[in-house]
Order: sequence, then C-alpha cells, then structure tokens
Amino acid sequence: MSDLRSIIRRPIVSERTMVLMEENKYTFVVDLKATKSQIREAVEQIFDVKVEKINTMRMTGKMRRMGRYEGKRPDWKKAIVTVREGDRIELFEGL
Amino acid sequence: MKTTVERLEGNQVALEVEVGQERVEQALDQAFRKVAQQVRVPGFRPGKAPRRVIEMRVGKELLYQEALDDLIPRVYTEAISESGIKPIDMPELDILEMEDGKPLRFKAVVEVEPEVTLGEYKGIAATKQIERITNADVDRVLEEMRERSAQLVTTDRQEIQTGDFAIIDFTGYIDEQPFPGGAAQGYTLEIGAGQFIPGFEEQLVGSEPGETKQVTVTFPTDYHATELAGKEARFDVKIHEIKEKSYPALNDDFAKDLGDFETLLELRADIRQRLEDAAAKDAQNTLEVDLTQKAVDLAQVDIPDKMVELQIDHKIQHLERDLQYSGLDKERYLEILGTTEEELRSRMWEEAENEVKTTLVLEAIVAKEGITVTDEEIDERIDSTVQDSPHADTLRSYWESQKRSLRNNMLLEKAVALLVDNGEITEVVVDRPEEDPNEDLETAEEATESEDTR
Repeated sequence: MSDLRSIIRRPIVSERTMVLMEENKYTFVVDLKATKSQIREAVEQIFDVKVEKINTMRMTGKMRRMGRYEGKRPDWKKAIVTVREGDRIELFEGL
Repeated sequence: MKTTVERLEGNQVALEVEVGQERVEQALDQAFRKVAQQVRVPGFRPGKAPRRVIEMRVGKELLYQEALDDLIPRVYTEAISESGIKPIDMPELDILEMEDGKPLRFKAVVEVEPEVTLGEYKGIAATKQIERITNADVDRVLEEMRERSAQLVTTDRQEIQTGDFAIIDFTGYIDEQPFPGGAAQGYTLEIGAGQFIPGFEEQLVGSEPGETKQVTVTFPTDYHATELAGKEARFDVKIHEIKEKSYPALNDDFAKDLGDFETLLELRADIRQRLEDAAAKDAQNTLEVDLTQKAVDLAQVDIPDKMVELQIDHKIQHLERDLQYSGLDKERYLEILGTTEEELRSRMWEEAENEVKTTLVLEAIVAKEGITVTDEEIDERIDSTVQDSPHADTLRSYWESQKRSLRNNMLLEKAVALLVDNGEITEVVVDRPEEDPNEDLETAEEATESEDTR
C-alpha cells in the first residue's frame, strides 16, 4: 500500500462525474482498503493539487448470473475528491 | 478564406486555399456533434458525451476526417466560384496543413476549361439564302389542303379504276385453307396505293360492284409474316361499292370553309405569307449556324479530351432517352446498327468536339463582349415559352428550376446574335433546289439534333 499508484485505480468518467468536475470534485475508483488520508496523499502527489475534502463510499459489487450460477462482482471503493479552487486534474491524458 | 490561383501547363490550375481557424473550428464542432450521436461511450447517453471524451475514444484523426469531408468540398466550391475558373474534372486534393489552432491549408489541382484564342469574329462574311416562294409553292399547299378536305363518295361508274376506293369483303385461302388475318368485311381499299400484296389491287381493276372475283397472288419472299412469305394464295373478293375521292372546288367557298378568309385570294395571300415567314426563319437559322461555325473555325482552342468525352456521354444519354420513347434500349439499338458502344462513341467524337468548341468560343465571346442576361429577360422568355401551353404550370415550374441553364443558353444566343449583327451579310433570294423526297425527314432530324446540342 505504500505505492501511491496502487491506491488510486482509475478515474470514473461518466455524465455524472463530468458534472461534479465543475465543482472541482474528481471521482476515482480506489483500493477497497485505502483510507481518506492515504487517498489525500496519493492525489496530492500524483496530480500536484491541494485536496480540501474527501468523501469515500464502499460500493457493493453487482450480482451477475450465468444461467444457474450466481456470481458477484467484487466490491470497490469510490472516492470523490474535492480539490482547492483553481487546481485542476487533467483526467484524460492517456487514461 | 484566402485563395491563390496558379495556372499550370495543360489546362491545369492549382488552387491554394487557406481556411480561417474559426471556420475549421466550426466544422470540427459540427463533425463532433455528428460523431457524438453515433458513438456510444460507457457512462454517457448517446450524444451527451463531452468533446474531449469522444476525441479520446474515436481519435482526433477521425474527427478531423469527418470535418474535412464536409468542409473541403464546400470551401472548394467557394474557391472555384470566387476565382472564376471552370473545372471540367474532379480536383486532386492535397492537404498542406491541418493542425489545432491553425488555419487549414490545402491545395487542389484541377483540369479547367481551356482558354480560347478568339479569331476575328466581327465582320465575318456570310450569305443569307432565302428561298423564293413561287405561285407553284402556294398551289402545292392549296392542293394538300384540298386533299385533306376530300371526301369519299359513291361513284356511278360501274368499273373499278386505279385511284378508286373499293368497299370489299375478302377471304384468303392458302392450299384451300383460310389463314389468320386473311379475311375482312367491309374493308375500304384504295386501288393503286400498294397497301396490299403486289398484284392484288391491280387484279380488281375493271371489276363491278356486286361482283365476286377471285384474285391469285403470291406473297413476297420478304413478307413480314414469315409463315406466309413466298406462298401463293387465292382470295375470294366481293365488291360492294366503288367510291372515289371528291375534291372541293378551289373557290371562295373553299376559302370560307377554312375559317377567317373571305376569298380564295385572301387564302392564297395567307399561305404565301406563312411560307415566306418559314423560309425567312430557315434562312436565319442557317445563317446563324453558318456564322457560328465560321467564328468557331477562326478561333483556336486546345480542347481537352475529357470535355469531348463528357459531351459524348451527354449525347449518349440523349440518345438513350430518345430510344426509350421509341421503345428501344441502347443494346438493341447497337445491335440493329451492328456496332458497339466504343465505335459509336468514336464516330461521335468529331461532332462532339465541334460542339464543345462552339460552346467554348461562344462563351469566350460572351465574356469578351460583357454580354449579360437580366432576370427580367429570363422571366420574359419563360412567359413566352409557357404561354398557350395546356400544361402551363408544370412547364413553368420546370423552367423555373432550369433558370441557370436557360440563362446560359440565352447568353450564347446573344453571342450568336452579335455575330449576325456584326457580320457582313449578303442576302440573296434563291430558287428552291430540286425536290428531294427525303428532305422533310432530314430537316426534322436536324431540328432535333440542334436542340440537343446544348
């Protein structure tokens, strides 16, 4: 877990997160076991921004079935990171 | 938009066009919107994804491609009309620069109409030959009119003569068997008109009404119904009646019957007038064609084959349309002529080349003389064309849609008129050349052809 890049998995790009970005809120899929302070450290270092606030939530994996067999996608953690006014994260560079 | 025109060799022109950044941006925007509707991006409803997301997903190149596909033809057309060049082919396009935040630059190389070196086109000498209308011509028309108003009346004569009309029943037998199409009742046969098989009509001469006569004939070997060709047949012919044509007398009454005339003299004067008008019109047409050809011959143009090919395409299209009216298609037509399409095309070459040259030369004269046609003139022309037609509305809307080509035609007409006005014209009245039985046919053909020229 010391590796910053394994804490933050990928950004979530959707209509909803696009709207959130206008309020300086960036949404990521993060490691299930990551804590807010770890996420803060990772985001600040990787993207060179000042994080003001972090909201996290555990998302339950969706149920899937193949015929008779039931399965479940893994649970994951979502983090909505609010950064300081004026700071920007370029989400689309090769991600 | 900035355009640089550079003339290259062989009627080629290179256009370098620079399109302002703003316009490129606009085109990109439009392309994006179009693509956005088609691409599905997870997390977004169709058409809702922002530009950057789409760009990442489909690649910027595709977006540019899409934008240019729409932008370049449009800009190209603008550049063409702005620089006034007349391309005859599709351009070869080459994109010089296309980058974000920079104007778009591209180069188009295209073959254009050749430049025309006009020869002397004012003061061309030509002879206008007006046909003399003689009393004999008037007589001939009168005779035709009489013929048309002739009626069949029963004659008192008891013997059929050549030129009579016999009302007959007939039944034909080949080997004592009646055959299909070999019988009729109450048929009116003109004796000596050659309507029936040779010999049939002649054998009836001298017969009387009420008589039943046997006629023996042999079908010609080239008869259209092949099963009858060359066969000998016997016909039982019953003659009912003999009629002959009765021509109205050529007098004032005849003139009155025809309408607005009081006397035969008035009718004659009217006929003469119409014949003279027609002759004058013919002479004018011939003169115009003659002068135009002379001006064309004096001019020098290096005509690209491409243009001739196009003209031939055009002619073939016309031909196909005409064939359709007569229920033929191109393949069948070629078969009848015993030729191939390539051969037909190569035979059309010279004529097509001349047509192309004529148009180019007349256009050059139009440009040089600054000839113009106003909208009013076009409207007037449409009015006069449409007038009196039973389908005035359809015709009018057709012509309204054809205004551009109509304008072109009128420009060319004016150029021809200019040739005539400035020509050294000698008018002579000539006697009609010897009567040629095919003359009517030929002039009719020429009329359709000259119409096709443009």
